[in-house]
Amino acid sequence: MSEEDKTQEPPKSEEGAVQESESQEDKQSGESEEKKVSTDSVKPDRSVTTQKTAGAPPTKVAKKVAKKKGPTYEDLVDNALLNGLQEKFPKGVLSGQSFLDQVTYTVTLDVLYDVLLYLRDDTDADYDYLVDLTALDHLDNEERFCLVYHLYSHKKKSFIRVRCAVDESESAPSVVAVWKTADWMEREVYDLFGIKFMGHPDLKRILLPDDWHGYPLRKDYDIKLQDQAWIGKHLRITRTPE
Amino acid sequence: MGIVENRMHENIVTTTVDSVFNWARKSSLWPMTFGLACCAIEMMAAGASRFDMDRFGAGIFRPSPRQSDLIIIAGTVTLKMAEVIQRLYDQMPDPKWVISMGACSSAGGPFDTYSTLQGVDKVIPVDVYIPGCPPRPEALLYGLMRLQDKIDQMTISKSTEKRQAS
Repeated sequence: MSEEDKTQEPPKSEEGAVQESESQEDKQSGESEEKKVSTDSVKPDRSVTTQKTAGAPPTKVAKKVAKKKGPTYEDLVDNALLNGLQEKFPKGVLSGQSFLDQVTYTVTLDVLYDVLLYLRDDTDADYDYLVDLTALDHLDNEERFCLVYHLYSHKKKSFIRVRCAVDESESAPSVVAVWKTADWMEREVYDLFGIKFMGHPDLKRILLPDDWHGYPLRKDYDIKLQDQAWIGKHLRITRTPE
Repeated sequence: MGIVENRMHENIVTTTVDSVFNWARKSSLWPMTFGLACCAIEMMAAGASRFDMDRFGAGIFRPSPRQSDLIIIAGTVTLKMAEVIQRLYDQMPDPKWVISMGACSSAGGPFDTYSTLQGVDKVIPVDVYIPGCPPRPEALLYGLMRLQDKIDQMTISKSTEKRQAS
């Protein structure tokens, strides 16, 4: 309490300024005067806080002006795994980059299967778990799709990402033989992007109906486009859509 | 569908029979055990002890459409599931009713996409729509009571104004 009293006493000269600023606020906002008076007389420490807030806006504006630079991709330097990969696949490994400590290796399609097998089996790499397999559609790129593999090593407790460009006409190698869990992931990518996986044991749609036409996650597929042929065949639409 | 329906004009016999039939039908609705998304969680809550749908005679969720006279469409209806809903509805014996629970089954909700049916009433006739995302159990109970009011208006007579027992 004694400390608080000390802090209360010096601002006496400032309190006048506070009241001035508050009176200005009252003119602007028209808030109830009773509250302000009570805070000034009974609890001066609250008025100090209001003074702080009154002084705050200029600093906020200053903060908004100064923009923080976002994180960027940086090339890996002296990365043991990257060196091992480049030694094994001199032409296949295009780059190794780090973004917010997330490591990404970009490889070519012809070595993709071997790289992933190497990452699983090599004792230094030891990425024994396929966390996720998905794809991106870069519609305007020369090679349209980008397959993304997220791998995890239980021994090293580390994640890596492997990316590989695939064109519309090409088909990717299936990694079901490497990680069994890739089975449904590849079916999902096939279902929504239409990328074919060579060597998959049972490549058919997993979410959409088997006889659906089109691949909805492609950029040139309208999000609202429903397969009217499928609807006409399977549903009794009693009320026509507007 | 039965032997008595749609044979007589409205008279003292039909109104008496109506009052008995309707009382029995509305007081012992048997919903199907059928849920699709988060609305189904609220539907289960409505059936459980705190809200207790059985107070209104509709707490016996049957595991088969052949033993149900009410289906509560509780959740997002995808096109793939719409096909199944049609088949389930066809398997229910007459007279049967449909409650569309929540924004998704009533009009597609936020999912205006390639995979979602924009309203279950496009494939099966809906008696009561319950708004909400998801509706509270109280809303489901209110919708249920509105359906009971509707059932109370049914008749076996030839009258065209009132809804006939189909």
